Amino acid sequence: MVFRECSCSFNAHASKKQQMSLPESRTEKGDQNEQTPFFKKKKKKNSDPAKSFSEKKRDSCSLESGQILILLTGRHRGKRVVFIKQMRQSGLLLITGPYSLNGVPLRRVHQKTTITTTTSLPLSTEDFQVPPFVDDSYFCTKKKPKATLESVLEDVGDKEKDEVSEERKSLQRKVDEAVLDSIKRIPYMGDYLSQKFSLSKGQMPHKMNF
Amino acid sequence: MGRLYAKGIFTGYTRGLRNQHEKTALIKLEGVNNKEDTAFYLGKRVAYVYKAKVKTRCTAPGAAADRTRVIWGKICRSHGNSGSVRAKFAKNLPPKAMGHRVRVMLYPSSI
Repeated sequence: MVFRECSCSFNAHASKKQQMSLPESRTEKGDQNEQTPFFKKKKKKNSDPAKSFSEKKRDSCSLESGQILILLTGRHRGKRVVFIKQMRQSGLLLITGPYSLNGVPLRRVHQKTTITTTTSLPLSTEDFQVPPFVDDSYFCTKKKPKATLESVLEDVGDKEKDEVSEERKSLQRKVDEAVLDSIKRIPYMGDYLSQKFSLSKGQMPHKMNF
Repeated sequence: MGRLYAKGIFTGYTRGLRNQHEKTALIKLEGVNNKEDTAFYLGKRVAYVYKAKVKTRCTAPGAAADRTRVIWGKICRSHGNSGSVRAKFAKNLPPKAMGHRVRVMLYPSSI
């Protein structure tokens, strides 16, 4: 399905044809108006040879650490959460409830499935740093080993429950500590984050300021 | 849970006076009365939710089989000057949905 109006315009850049002239006939810049064609330099896009492709792809989002987002999809839809940082590799946003307020753990979320509010917590980077091992691979689901006939016949009944590891819990507490600290300093912020967002009668999203 | 979608009504298919083209549906959004206001909704996903007799499996994790079914679509462009909007669905909307509720989600969000 091709949607015309909502997608970006692909014909934005008219291709500039490079007019090459013979070295002999090239004159000084001042003599442009004469016979030799104007030598146009090809416009280079942001080519930074130092950056690899995977690094270049992800533009940093304009969100500030501590900004409140509203989740629109998933099991936590409607909940107001705190933005922490953007993941380097995938571009997803790292958010936390905090867990004790609304049950949202440290989680990755796509920016397109959130509403950014102008409300934000003052989370300065001096007293609040997420440990560096918290990156995309930390959140990726671990692949289960393929079930062979023997393994299926062996484990009869006792299925492993997906329990949250103690490491995750301690990381959650650590991150939430600093976040909860700044929440307590703002009146009603705790109540605000523990309540869900929903539209009511007469509320039009296109007219709302978030 | 709370409503996280804007309300819309499926008013009909794109049509001339005597021929209709069922591949594109026209949606009247609540509270949207001019073309400028529709800009917010362009690209947003739309859902026509209905119930059937036979229970089908739910996509929600751990949810029981449900009678509720959905046809998903997207708002592709505005339609006219008075705030209507065109939407294309994965399967064309059934004509019995005319005059009925269509849910316009707030994602993919650009705010």
